[in-house]
Amino acid sequence: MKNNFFIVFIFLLISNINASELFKPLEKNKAYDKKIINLGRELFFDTMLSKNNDISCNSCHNKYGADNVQYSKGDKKLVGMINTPSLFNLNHNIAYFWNGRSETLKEQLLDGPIFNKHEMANDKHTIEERLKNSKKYHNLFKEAYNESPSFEKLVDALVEYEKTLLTLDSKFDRFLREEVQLNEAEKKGMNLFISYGCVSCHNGINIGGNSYQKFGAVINYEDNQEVWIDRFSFTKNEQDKNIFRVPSLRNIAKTAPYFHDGSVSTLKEAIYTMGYYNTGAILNDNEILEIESFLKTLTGDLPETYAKGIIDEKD
Amino acid sequence: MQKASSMKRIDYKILLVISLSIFVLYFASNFKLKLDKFNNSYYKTTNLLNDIRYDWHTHQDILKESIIFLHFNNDKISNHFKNHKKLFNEIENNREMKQNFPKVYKSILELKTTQKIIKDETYYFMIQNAKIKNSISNLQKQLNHIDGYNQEYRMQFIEAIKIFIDAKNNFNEHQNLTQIQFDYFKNYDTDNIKYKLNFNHIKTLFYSMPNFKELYNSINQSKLTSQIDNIFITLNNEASIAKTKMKNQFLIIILIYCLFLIFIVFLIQKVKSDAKILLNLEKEKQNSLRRDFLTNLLNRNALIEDKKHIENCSILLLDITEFNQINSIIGYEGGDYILQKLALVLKDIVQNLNIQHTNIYKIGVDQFAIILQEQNHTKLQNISLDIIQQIENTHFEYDNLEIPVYIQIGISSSKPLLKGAETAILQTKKTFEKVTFFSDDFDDKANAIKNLSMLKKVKLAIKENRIRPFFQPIVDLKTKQPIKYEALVRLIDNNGKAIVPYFFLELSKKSKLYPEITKIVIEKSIEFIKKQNISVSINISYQDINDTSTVSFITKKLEENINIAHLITFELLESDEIQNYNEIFSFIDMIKRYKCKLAIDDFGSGYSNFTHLFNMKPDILKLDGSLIKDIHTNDKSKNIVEAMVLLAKKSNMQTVAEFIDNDKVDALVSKIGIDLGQGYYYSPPKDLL
Repeated sequence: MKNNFFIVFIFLLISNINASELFKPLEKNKAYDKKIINLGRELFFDTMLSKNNDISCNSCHNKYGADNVQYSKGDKKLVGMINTPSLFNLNHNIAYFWNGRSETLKEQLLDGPIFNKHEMANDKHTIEERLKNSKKYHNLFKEAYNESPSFEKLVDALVEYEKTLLTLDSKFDRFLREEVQLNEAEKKGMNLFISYGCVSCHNGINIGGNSYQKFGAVINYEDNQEVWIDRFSFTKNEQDKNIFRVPSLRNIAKTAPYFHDGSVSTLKEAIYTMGYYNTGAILNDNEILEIESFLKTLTGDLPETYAKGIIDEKD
Repeated sequence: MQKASSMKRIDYKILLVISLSIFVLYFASNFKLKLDKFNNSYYKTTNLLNDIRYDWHTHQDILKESIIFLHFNNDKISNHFKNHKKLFNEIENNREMKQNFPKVYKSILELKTTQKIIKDETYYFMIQNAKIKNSISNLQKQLNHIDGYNQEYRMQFIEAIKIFIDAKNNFNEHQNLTQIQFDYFKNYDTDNIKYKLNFNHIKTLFYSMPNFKELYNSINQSKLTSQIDNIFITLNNEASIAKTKMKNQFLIIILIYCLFLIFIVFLIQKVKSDAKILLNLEKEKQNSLRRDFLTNLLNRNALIEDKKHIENCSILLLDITEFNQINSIIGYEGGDYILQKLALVLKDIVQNLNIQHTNIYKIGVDQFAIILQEQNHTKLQNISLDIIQQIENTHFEYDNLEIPVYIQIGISSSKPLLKGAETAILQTKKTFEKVTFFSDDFDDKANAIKNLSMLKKVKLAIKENRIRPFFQPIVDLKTKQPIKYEALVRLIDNNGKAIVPYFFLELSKKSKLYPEITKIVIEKSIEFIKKQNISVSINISYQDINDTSTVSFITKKLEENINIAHLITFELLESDEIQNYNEIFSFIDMIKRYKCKLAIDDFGSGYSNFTHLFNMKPDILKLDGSLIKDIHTNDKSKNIVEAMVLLAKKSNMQTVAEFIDNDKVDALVSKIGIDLGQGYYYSPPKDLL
């Protein structure tokens, strides 16, 4: 009797929580300065930011904010050591980079892509020189900031631009807003997503991105990486080994390959892997399919500040 | 002018006061603004601190919430961190807080370290929380398939879930599976994947639970709570210190202002008192013009000024007898001391007189004057005698020496007061009276003004040749025939009236006119001798003999008229004036060389000195008139004259009797054996030239 009562209690506790508590739809950005965004966008797509004028920001963030390779090619085709995370819907992330070493977008920008030798490998001076020699940027900076080009304002423009990169109106968001119904498979997938405990880490607006978690929380993930750029790599805290910022699952269907090491190329495989190592469950094919169809509802529209001019690059 | 400039000075000060007042007013309003700003900053800081505290409590609540619910939206925590970051940015940029409450500001920034620890712990907490949630939800999921397990496993399984949920939800207690329970699952059918997966979750929970609780407690027991409390205390301390400081500043400014006002008032007062002092100085200056420096009595100037304004008053002029001698005995300092003492005594006396408008003045070195409104002679006499009495009764002592101080008083009740009194004093010296009233009687004779006019007359007379000798015959008492004449100087006034020497000669002696008169008499007498070829007796005084120019004039005249020189007789009056007999003797030698004769005038009057007389070897003795005048009635005079005649005869000297004005005297002197006679009985002096 006592046990049964307890079970009922637990069920009550579960049924108490519904999806609209755990997940929130993306909301439109409030008004932004179009001139700054215009400049930011121009810079985002400009290869002159890289040392040898061969890659732009977009080169590695060309597919729903990420790209379709395990490791992106940087300047001089140098290959990075971690899978490019999506830079869409950044606003709701707890921090940036896989290991969350930057808490702001500005830090992120200065810590990583522009100066990293595996990425743009550039320097502030060169960029400023290039900006100052460009009539286009001279005008754009003038329009946006009413001053001549500077690296400082370049960073600002890029950050402001990044903030506008939201993939709005996914089916799931519209479901959360009670505009549409999920189909049977999607609904089942969502329930599995919750009941298998995926939701423990993947919750909130970005369905993830709001906490650090261990890769292999339940069952240790045998690493096959030479270098793990986990949280330990910069906190040097033993507890932080294999700890990563939980990635957002928005547009997950569009951002293969998966995981920090880009080791998994299909979503199904990723669902299975995560299910095993992080939820401690062995999912069957049906469950995987249902979860996959739920995850596909997380794909939103390309950001309007991004969409123009990237059609060619769209997969 | 003085007033105007002081007014200007005051205006300047008032201007200063006004400008300072404006400054202080400005300061006060500024102070008010500053205080308002400060208070504002204080409330803002308090609010921020409250925000931090609220933020912290919110964080704790959210964590609690994240534990209770099986599934949880971690955005709540991450958003909270974002808000938290915003809050601290706001604090960091709060310049006013930094300025007004530097300690609080510093402490709040120090909170960031604690916050960072909390944040890190929270991230670990979230990791453990997610694991626990995941495993519990997976175990729960197995409850759907509970029928697939045997009874024992089912019991153990449900018990384990219950324990874990209990453990999770009991925030403070460390609950967990026992090692036995844990081992039960660990060893249960290890080959079956189903049990293995269950065990994985139980293992995860079993190991995560203590860590999870520990993190939760560590976060909850963070020192942040006490730190925030301390910051509140620091804030209040800093605020009260700052407020006290501001209040003190304000008080100091107000105090300075008050002091300044007092200073200004003092200055204004000082200007006033300065003006007063200046006025007093002016008065003093006037006073010093009116006051004697030594005795601080009013001086001669004051007297001259004052007596113009007083009617019906008299003046008592007090003269110290022989003050020169006092000076010579005890020196000038002593003299000054005596004068000061005397001044005090006189002041005292005058105060006790009880007469209106009585004032005392020091009008000369040794002269005091008292002006009083009283004209009754008897009263004045009594007052004067009283004053003299009191002064004589006063002991004047200097340097243990009793100094005799005597005064004489001259009184005048008619104008000009001072001159009258001075005349009276002169008279006093002659009469040796202690008190003398000025009267018109001696005004004619001794009045200084008269004297002056007489001197003028003499001078004019010399110039106009109106000084001339009259000649009175000296008769041989046997024959009654004039055998010689005495030259007697006269001043012929404008009306042709002859004025006797009594009125001008003594006066002339004090001027340069006297030698002139002597020379005129000698010259005219010689002229008379030449005309009449008769002997003439010329009066010569010690002053003449003492005057080298007169002596050389006489010598020159005798030399010029050497043939008639034997007809000249020089009549010398022997008196106490003679200081140096050598001059007399050398003069006598000189005239004897020219065969001139020497007569001694007024022989028998007070000063005659026989030794000197015989040393001079006179040819003629003129017996003093005062003895001859009453010789016929006064036996004493007769005896003296007889003795003198005897003496003269024995010394081969001729004798002359003067002042013979009747036949009785004439008869008697002839009988006594006097050789020659002179007087009105025979002839008055006549202008024979």
